[in-house]
Amino acid sequence: MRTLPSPLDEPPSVAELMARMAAGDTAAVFALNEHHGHRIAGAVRHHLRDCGVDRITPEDLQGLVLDACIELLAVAPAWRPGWAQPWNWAWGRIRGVVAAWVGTHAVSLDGERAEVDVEVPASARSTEDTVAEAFARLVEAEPLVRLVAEAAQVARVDDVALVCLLDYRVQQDQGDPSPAHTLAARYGVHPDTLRQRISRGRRRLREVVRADPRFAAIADLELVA
Amino acid sequence: MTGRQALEAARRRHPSVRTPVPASAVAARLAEHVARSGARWPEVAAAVLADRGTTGLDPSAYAESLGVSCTALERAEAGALGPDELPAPLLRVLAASLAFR
Repeated sequence: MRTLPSPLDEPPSVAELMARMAAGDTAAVFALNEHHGHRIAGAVRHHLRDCGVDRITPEDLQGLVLDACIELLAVAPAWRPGWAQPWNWAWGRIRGVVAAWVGTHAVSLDGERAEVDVEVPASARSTEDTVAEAFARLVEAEPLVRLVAEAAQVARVDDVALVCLLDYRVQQDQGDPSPAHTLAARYGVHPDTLRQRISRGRRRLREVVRADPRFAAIADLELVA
Repeated sequence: MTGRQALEAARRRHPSVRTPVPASAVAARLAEHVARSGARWPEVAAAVLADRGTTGLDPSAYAESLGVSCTALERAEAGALGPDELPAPLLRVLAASLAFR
């Protein structure tokens, strides 16, 4: 007759189980699932919601939690006690498990239903090759654009920064989900640096436009709003 | 009962654990995991891991509880032993286990 731990024994802590898994004890996955599975399920549900899945059967959820536990088994040697909980620390890994499940169970795109009946008119092409050239022409031709250029001068936003700001806006309007990444390569900077430049430029422009009544006409422009 | 034990007892009554995870489901997933490492007998390895995981014992305590050597247990968990090569006590336990098919 085997002597098994009593149910009233202290449940193993996350750190203890991660240490066991790091040491190669694969069976610790069971204890992790049993004692902390409900917490991992919380993280899994979070990822599911992000993927647009609000409902899931208990069996599927259990399967995902198990897969997440096995994923944590693979990264256990890299985790250290005192860090974030493993399922938060390995957020990307858990998301990968969920994304793979969602991808597998997604309904295939119906080609016929996805066809668009209405023809979308093509955008008019600019006569210039670059945003900088187009902006230079519009400064001459459009009083409002000239006002933007003047406000930029007062706000000490140089030409490169202003064109970058406009480029960013153009990308956004064209539906680019991450203009900073698109433009970072073009401007030879890190996306975070570019975001900072955009933010700083917009803030300076906004402050000048709000403070100086000369620029009241462009106060509602999204570029400075 | 300590605070932590009370918390654990309360957790076991929580609706979120009303559908317990069958050991066979965990074993099936573990078998896939073990198979990826190229083991010869992933199902056997998963069944052994499932049984030990259910008991909550570490390898040496589990081996001792069954009266088998740690080396044999280690090899079984690595998928190096087939059903015919398992030590008799381990085979008896697994034969009764739902996880072993």
